[in-house]
Amino acid sequence: MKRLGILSLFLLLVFSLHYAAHKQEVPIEKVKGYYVSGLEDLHSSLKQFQNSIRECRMGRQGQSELQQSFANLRFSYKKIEFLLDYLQPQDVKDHLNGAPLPKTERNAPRLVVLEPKGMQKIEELLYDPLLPEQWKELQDLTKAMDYQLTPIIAFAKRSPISDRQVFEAVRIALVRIMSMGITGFDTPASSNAIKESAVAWESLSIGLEPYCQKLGEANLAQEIKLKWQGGLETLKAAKDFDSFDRLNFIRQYVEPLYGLCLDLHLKLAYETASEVYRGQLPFNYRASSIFSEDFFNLQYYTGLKPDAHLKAKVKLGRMLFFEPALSANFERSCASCHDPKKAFADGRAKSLAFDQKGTVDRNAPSLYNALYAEKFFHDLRADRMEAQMEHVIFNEKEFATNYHTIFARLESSEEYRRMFKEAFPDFNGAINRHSLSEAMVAYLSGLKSFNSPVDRYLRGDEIVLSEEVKQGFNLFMGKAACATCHFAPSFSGLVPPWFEENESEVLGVLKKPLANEIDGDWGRYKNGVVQDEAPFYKHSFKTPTVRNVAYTAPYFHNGAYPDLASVLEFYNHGGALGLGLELPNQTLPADSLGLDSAELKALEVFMEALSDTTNRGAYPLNLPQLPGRPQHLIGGKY
Amino acid sequence: MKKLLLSAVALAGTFAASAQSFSPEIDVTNWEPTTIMVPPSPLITQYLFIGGHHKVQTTATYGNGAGEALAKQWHDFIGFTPDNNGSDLGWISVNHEMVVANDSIGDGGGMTVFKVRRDPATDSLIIVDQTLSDGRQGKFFAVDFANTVGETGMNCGGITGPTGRIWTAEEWWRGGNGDLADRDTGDFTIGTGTANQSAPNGFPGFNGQTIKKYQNYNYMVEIDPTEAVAVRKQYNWGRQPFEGGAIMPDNKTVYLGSDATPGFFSKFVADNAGDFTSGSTYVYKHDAPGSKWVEIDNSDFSKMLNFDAEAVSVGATMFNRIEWVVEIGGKVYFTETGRDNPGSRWAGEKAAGAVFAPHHIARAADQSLEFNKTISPDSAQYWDYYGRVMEYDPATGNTSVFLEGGPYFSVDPAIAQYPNVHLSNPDGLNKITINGKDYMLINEDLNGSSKGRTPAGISNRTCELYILDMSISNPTLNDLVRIAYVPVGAEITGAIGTPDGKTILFNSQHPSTSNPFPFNNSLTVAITGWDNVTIGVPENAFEGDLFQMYPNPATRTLYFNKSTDVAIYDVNGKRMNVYRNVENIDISHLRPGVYFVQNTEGETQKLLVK
Repeated sequence: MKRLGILSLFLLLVFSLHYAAHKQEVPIEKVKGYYVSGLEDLHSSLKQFQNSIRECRMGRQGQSELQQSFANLRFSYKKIEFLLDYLQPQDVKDHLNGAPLPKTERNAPRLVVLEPKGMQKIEELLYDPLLPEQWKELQDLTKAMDYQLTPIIAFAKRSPISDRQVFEAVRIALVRIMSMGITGFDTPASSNAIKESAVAWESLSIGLEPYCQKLGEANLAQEIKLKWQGGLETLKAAKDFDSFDRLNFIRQYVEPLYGLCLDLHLKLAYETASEVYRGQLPFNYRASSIFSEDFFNLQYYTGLKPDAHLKAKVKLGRMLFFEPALSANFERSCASCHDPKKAFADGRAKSLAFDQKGTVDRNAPSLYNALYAEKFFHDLRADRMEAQMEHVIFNEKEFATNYHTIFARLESSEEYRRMFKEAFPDFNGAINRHSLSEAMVAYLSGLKSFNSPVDRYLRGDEIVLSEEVKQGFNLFMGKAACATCHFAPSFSGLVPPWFEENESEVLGVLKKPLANEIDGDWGRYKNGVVQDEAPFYKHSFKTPTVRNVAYTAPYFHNGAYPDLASVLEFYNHGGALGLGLELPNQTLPADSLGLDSAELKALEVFMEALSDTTNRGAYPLNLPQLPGRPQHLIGGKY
Repeated sequence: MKKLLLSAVALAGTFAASAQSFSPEIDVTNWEPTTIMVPPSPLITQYLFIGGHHKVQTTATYGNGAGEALAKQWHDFIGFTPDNNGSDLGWISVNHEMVVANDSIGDGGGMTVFKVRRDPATDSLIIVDQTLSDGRQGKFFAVDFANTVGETGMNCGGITGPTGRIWTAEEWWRGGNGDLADRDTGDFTIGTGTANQSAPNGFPGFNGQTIKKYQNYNYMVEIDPTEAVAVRKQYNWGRQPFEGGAIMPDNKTVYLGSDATPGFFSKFVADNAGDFTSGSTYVYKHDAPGSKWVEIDNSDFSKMLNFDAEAVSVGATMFNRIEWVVEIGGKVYFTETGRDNPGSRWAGEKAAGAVFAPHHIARAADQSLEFNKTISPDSAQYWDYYGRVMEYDPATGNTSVFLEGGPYFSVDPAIAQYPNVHLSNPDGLNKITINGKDYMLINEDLNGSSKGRTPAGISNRTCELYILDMSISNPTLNDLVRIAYVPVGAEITGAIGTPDGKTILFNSQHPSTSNPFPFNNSLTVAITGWDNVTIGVPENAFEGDLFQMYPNPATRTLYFNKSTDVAIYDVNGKRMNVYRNVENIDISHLRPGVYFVQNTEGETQKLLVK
């Protein structure tokens, strides 16, 4: 019995040593340890900040010390952001570092407006002189964070992470640093954006270090290490927010590392997203470049399978796009307002209405990259392309018709029946809402535009960009604060790093440039979606892409701004508020951007360079025959 | 000593499990591993009713003639009415949880009804052609609310009564006419309608009362599924953000839940069985002396219009969002779906005299330890992430937690069982009796994805349908068996069993558009054959300690004899899937063919999927 005991003890010792020895080497244990202790550091930084608030309130500290304490809190957060925002994005958004804007409660049985919380809201208070009534607000905001951190930490300690997830977290964080970090998205007032990015950047290298070690002294590990170092030095060397050269930082460090981290992941043979996740992700994990056509996963946005019938669907969709039989009077088609010769917009402020007298309500957007969206229309009223199409079909000012009529017309054509059969053999060629919309989506899926000179430069191609374009990019991503709404790499309101959500903004676009009157369109507030009937969605409109903006004048939802210069001027003034008009809930800061004429020009030149219309659509030479309709004008009459 | 030794081994095991990477390819030639066969599923799955795709027959509405229209979406509750007098199986009623204008179906939400019979050869369901007495012909029919009782909105849960009568619940609270998608927002008179729109089906005792249009929302509304028309709004049960209800076998007693924080649990007792137009209405107060049901005078219309305020004034018991209610074996069960931080939502009612349900007091006491300070359910810290299933026992008048959601890992489930074992924000709740045995059907929703309600990071985020054997006493999450999950982005709702115990019907609601057709639309699904299958894994499925697998062909689940990491390889030895720390996996994505399954220790077995 005693011997058995000693043996057991010995075994226990061996196991424990074995375990302890390995614990040092197991990358995931290291990462988990880093994460948990980082969370605890965050919690104690919060306590210190709370203490600072008390001290400052008593007059024992100045506001600059309070700002420093807040900066430390944010640095603590940035050290673990890549894991926390990957593992618990909802906690981050709801409680810790969400945008400082009110939102509606999700999945609640009535409209509940949630006031913003977390560090971005706190920052809004800290960089102006504190008013007496704001002390309580500050204390309440920090208390709320404290309450939330307790269960977040408790949960993090107990829940598992896998190696695969570390790689995903790091690569997603590279996108975050590029699109939201160095642009100052979450710390607009502190001027600490680049410093914070340096902290976040360093944390990524710490997270991957055990994996580089695991790989051994291979070239890949060395290359990755050098890139982390170089990037960190570049960030640390930045003189200030405005002058940081984002273009070269992305080209030299972010883009290469995005690919290299994937290489390391695959070399170490950990599973990748497609092996654990049955659905589609907004991005292709296996893409090695952010500024490339294969970065986004179109199938996520459209449900369109790249199968054997896709070609037939595209062919059919192209016919339908130019088919005037979709409108009541056989005289209008999609191309009426989305002309391939005008980058699939129409050059008008507002498109001509069905009755040829008035106009439709808003400006026709370009269709390039239009499918990469969560919601459609300027007011975000449609959550899928089927619904988008439906609004056009039924709208009295657009196609002024209905499904029955359209289906009957298409059914009457032998050629269309055949094309539907070829495209949808699984459904026996049924002509219905689904097949109509899917064919149209298939055609639009060809309208990709991610290959501008700027994209090519960013991903490392040996091409020359003019100094003015370079300056314009850096302004767009920095001082001019364009990219904090028009997020790279889509340059639209598709929010990184998950790309699941479209943002809308309240700018107070005027009736005409400098008209001194805000355009009366309610936008999202009156889009018919009950969950959007919140006051802060009044005059709120979808943030469109600025890709190909060179071809899509006039601008804004009302098409009232004839050129880019007038648009930039509006922003430079700080929107409606900046122009002295009244607009509750404007989401654009009201202060002037302080851009001089050379800077404005550089921005314009950069946006013009963000053009790629290589996937041109052309009018088809013929449309399928419809019986009794010899006058069948391709693309419609008007 | 032995215990210590075991724990040391367990530690080593933990480390091994987390460090493994499976080779991207394995050599599958020249060897013959143990082969496990997965027979074809004996279950038949049918997609009966596709929102936005199937056409429904409509009545003459808003000056438009009777005709057809594409069905509304957002399928929620499913009611089932047996065809006792005919040869068909019965009528299926499906709620549309939306508020949208529609020229033919009517504004607001709505319902679609259709009739099914069984194919005698396969037991699968066939949708029957019908001609209704108003002349409508077809398969699917829009229930006419606009011309009968006034429009409805956000038709969420509902009630299937003991005789198959159907009520639909109007959940989303309408606070003013601006909240409606109605073209006609004129004042509404019960029994006549608005000035422009006639709605003659009134309610005894309330006819002639004139209310704002929005006040004609948020009732339980009875419909006649055989004629696709509404019968009446149940004004005597109060105006509440109803989600669900259940009628007891006596056909007199109705239990009702309201989806709000605070959510009240209410009761109606009819004077005569089957006549729900007269009787008494009560609200639950667990700490009331004597009866725990306090009457709210339903002859006073203003009390019915302001039911929540009445409940507060009598000090009723507060729950955190009550969803569906079901009667099983004489007891009443209801889901309390939870709200992350409910504190501020019921603090005012608490101050005004309403009381917290005892389990919330107990939870707050537990959480006081976590926060190291005393907190109560109205404290800002108090959290209720996962929700639960509650039990109400009419014999004692007490409510208690029947099944607590999770994971919080400190109690249930164990980390090694997560994410296979979890229950996040239960919502829909119903029952099925299979071969004489009662089962509960629990539908998940997701109020959020944090704290493990879905696995973290990039992972499968689905809502699941669980079945629970009601003969298990004191069940835990481990006793739940997953029988279905819905496409990405969808909520699973409405599950109900047919009275013959053969079919479970459920809805997939608001799926992501990234799913291929028809899974990008709301769907009513029927799975048939439950009378011929084993649910879960038999107790004697495994012997010994060697790596073993047991497939359940019906639910397409592969069970292992211990928790492990596994990789699935295709017939050529290429890695397809990796699962970490699992006791069972879903293999419904594996088409018929040969696969290889490797565990943490590198042991490999062949899987032959038929």
